[in-house]
Amino acid sequence: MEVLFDVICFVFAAGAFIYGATKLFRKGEPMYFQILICAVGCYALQEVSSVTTYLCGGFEEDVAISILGILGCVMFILAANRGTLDALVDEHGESGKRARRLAVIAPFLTFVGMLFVIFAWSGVTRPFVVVVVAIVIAAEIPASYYTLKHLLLPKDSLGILECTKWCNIFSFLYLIFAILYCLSFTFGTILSGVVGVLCSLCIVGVSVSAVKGAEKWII
Amino acid sequence: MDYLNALLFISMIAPTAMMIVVCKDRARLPLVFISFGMIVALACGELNTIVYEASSFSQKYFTSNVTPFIEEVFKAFPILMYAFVLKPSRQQLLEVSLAVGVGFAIMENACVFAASASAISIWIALLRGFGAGMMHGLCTMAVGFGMSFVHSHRTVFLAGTLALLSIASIYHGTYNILVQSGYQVIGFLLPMATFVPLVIGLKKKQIL
Repeated sequence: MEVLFDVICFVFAAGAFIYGATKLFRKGEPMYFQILICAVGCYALQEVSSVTTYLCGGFEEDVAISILGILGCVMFILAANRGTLDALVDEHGESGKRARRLAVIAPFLTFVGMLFVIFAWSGVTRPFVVVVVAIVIAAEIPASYYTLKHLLLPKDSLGILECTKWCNIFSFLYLIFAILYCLSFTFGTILSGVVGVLCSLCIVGVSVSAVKGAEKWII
Repeated sequence: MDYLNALLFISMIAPTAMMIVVCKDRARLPLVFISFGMIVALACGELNTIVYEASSFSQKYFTSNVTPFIEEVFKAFPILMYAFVLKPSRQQLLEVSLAVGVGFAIMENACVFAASASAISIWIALLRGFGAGMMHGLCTMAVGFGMSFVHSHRTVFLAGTLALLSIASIYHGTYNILVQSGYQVIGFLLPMATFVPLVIGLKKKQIL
C-alpha cells in the first residue's frame, strides 16, 4: 500500500519537474523560479528512492536516505527566497516592518512542530534516526520565515511579489505538510501516504505557479 | 592483506604524481584532483569501517543510507577549498568536481575488485567501471555546481550546496541499493542514462 502512494507521488512530481524544467531551464529565465524547479526535482528523486527501496526489499529501520529529499526541497526553497528574492522585495524599511514581525510566527510554529516530531519518534526508534529527522525539520525554520514574509510584504512597484505569490503559497503549504508527513509516520502507513500525496500536490502547485510567475516577470 | 588498499593507493598515486610534475598547467589540474579523489576514497573507506563497527546497523542499511552521505560530504571538501581559495570559473569548477568523482571511483573500484577478484568478470568490471565512475562524477559535479555561487550569491551557495548534497546522497544511495539487489544491472546503467544526456546538454549550452 505504501509503495502505491510513493508511485503516485513520484508520477505527480516527475510530471511537474519535466513541465517546469522544459519551460524554465533556459537562458534568461529568472533564477528564483529555476531554483524552485530544482526543489521539485529533488522531491521527485526522493520518491524514486522510496520506490526503489521498496522494490529492493526495504530496510529494518524506519528512515532511509530518501528523507534527505525533504532537506533538499527546503534548502532550495530557502535559496530561492532568501538568496534571490529577498534583496529585490525587502528594503528593510518601515513598509515591511509588520511583515517581518508577523513572519516570525512561522519559524516558531516550525520549532513547535519539530518538538512534536521528536516526541512522537522518541522511544519508537533509535536516537540516530530521531536526530536525523529533527535536523531535517529544523532546516525548515529559516525557510518558513522567508516564505511567509514574502507573502505578507506589501506589493512592490515591479510586481515581483505578485509573480511569486502562488509559488510562496504552495511552498509554505509544502513546508507544513512536510512536518505532518514526518509526524504521520508514527501513526501508520495510510495517513503518511495521504500526507505524502498532499506534499506532492503542493510540489505540482509550485511547478505550475513557477511557470506562470516567470511569464509575468518583467526584470 | 590488511593494508592492500594502501598498497593499491600507492601504486596508483605514484605514476599520477609523476604526470602532475611533467604536465603543464591546464592538464595538471584534473590530475591533481583525480589524486584528491583517490585520497578521499581511501580515507572514506577507513572511516566507513570505523563508523560501521561502532554502529549497530546491518551492512545493507549502512552501505545504502550512511555511506553515501559520508562519501558525498568528504568528496565536497577538495572542491570547496578550490572554490573558496582560487575563485575558478564555473566550467573549471565542474571539470575539477568531475575529476574528484572519477578519482574516487578509480580507487573504490580497485579496492572492490582486489577484495573479490575471483568473482569479477570483464562484463561486471566494465559495468562497474563506467557505472561507478559516472555516478561519482555526476554527484560531485552537482555539488560543485552549487559551489560555483560561493562568491556571487552567498545564500544560494550555502543553501543550494546543502540541497545538492542531499540530491547527490539520495542518488548515490539509490545506486547502492540497486547494485546490491537483484536489479544490479539497472543500478550500473542508471548513471549512464543520467550522465550522458546531462553532459551532452551542458556541452550544448557551453557550460562544460
